[in-house]
Amino acid sequence: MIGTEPIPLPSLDAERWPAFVIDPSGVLVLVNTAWDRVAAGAGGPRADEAVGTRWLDHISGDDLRTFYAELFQRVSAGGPGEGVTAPCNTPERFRTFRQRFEPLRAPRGSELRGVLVLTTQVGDGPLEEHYCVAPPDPARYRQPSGLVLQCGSCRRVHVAGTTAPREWELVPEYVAHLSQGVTHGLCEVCRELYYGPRRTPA
Amino acid sequence: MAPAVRLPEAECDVLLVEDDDDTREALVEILGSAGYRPRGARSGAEAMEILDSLAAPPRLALVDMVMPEMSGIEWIDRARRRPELRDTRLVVLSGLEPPADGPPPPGVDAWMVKPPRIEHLLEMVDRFLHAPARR
Repeated sequence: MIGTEPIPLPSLDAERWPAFVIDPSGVLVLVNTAWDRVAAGAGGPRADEAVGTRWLDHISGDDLRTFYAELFQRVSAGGPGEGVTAPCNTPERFRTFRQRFEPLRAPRGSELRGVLVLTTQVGDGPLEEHYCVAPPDPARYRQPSGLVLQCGSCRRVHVAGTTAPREWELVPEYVAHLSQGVTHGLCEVCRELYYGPRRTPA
Repeated sequence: MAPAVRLPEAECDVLLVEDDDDTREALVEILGSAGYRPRGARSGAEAMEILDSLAAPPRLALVDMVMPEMSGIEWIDRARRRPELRDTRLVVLSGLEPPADGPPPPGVDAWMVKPPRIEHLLEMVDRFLHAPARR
């Protein structure tokens, strides 16, 4: 029950992927059993640890947090439900998920009781079919400093010794498991995306 | 009425310690365009040399976490031992999210995830440059 009046909730435990309810203040009040399965693989908090915490605190990155905060605000403010489709890959699989945000209101009233979030998988295939991927070869990527340089935005890694233009490759292992010897910079594409064209030549 | 005393402008109000040339040059350019007086250092050792050369310490240092030879945390630890940096705010720049639980590491005033959006960077710099001195 959310609030003072019971409202019907679908059986969230029947869902294959994480489903949860966020109360109007942004706190997780209910998560399903699939949450635990996904969290265990991703290093996230267990269901019993997650309930009672702020939902946005489980989202990484300022930009993404801002995006979801605005979405939550729109849905909470009386807007229609909204969906978001985004990739969530593993080192081997290209996967796409859709999250549907639906306002929960009491049957006899319009007062918002929470927002229900349902996740469904809409895409799955070998990573190689979607990206040019490379194996984690330290000799190929280690800089003279001994560190591997990874773009802090797209997470591709710099091929050591390449200059003007520098070459960057997607190495799923470096995305899935951050090692101690990784330093973060910006590839040329993301630099322009974040900060605009370079004013002085490289 | 006597003219207001004009304080000399600091040579550098924001020190940026970042080993990645592109990131460092981009952030120095942005801060300079916004009217600040940034200085960039490609390593912790170079940052210490810059500090030694300044007549007045910077109000803020943005420090990359993972750098060769001297890590950002090691640099911050050394910086905190310098009395002239007592009022300098030290902010970690990292490609990783801050530790999930608890406060920032000792000596760290804030944690900013790389690459920062321009508006987030300028808001944070503005906030710290106008923060009251430590007690």
